[in-house]
Amino acid sequence: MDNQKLFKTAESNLKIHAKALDIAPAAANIFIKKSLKAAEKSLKKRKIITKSDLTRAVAKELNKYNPDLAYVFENYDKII
Amino acid sequence: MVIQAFMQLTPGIFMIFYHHSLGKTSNKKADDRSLSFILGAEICIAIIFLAIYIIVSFFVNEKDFPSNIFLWIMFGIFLLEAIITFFFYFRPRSKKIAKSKNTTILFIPRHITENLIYHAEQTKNRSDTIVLGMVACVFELIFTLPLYIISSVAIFNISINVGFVFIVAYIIIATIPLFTIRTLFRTGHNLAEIQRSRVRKKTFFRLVISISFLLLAILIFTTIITR
Repeated sequence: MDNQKLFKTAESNLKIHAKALDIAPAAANIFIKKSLKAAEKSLKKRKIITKSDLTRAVAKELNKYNPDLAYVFENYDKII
Repeated sequence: MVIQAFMQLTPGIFMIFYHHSLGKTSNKKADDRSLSFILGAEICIAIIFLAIYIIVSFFVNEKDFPSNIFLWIMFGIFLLEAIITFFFYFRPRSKKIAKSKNTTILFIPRHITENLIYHAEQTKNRSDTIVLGMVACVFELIFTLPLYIISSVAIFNISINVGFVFIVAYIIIATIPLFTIRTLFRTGHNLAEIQRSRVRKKTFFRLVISISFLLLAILIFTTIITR
């Protein structure tokens, strides 16, 4: 998966999680974009970005704004 | 019954499905679909139970039913299940996920898990959801099949009315965790809170399942000895 697609998938997943967690859409949009931008910046040096790299970086940023959303995003595929 | 109520695969799939439904559709639709999931799980439990009951009924006319060989096999299976659940029910932490210390990753292979998550996210109507509930129960059969067998054998020793009540009670108790999770979601708890509490109780779940299997094995062993 190329990086652009990876970021887009992460963004749409984050929006779904935010709605499910009952976070106001406007606020969610702002901090999702901020977190993705920060994650992109921190992963800039890497040639290949994996899904788990991105998840970890985004979750680290998201933790500043909404810990629940960060937790769900990071642990979603580790529930079962 | 108790062992099945503590199994974690069906509740896990249910949580993912419910959370994703809440994120994609309205709360009312998600609630409605969650009931279909539970119905699917209940139907599946009932079908498996009755199928095994019928299979067991073929052997019930034998002279010394249940035979000693059968009981020894069941004893071995329960002992094995007790060991397996203690060590492997929750997957041991791998290097890949070492940073996320506490997870509830289960015994099933990763590609199957990914497939289950994908299908939990793709459910679009009630029939999809019912099938998802049934599939979740089927994947748990590796641990629940011996329970169905021993329960079916136990039913033959009691009257038909009590047996029917037993089956209904089995189905209800097995789906209590799903109703609990549904209630939690409806009362404002989110996936993060529920998952955190699941992680905290992980060892407890594992111990209860493992000890219950061990107790069943001991019960069967004493039955064989006292015959």
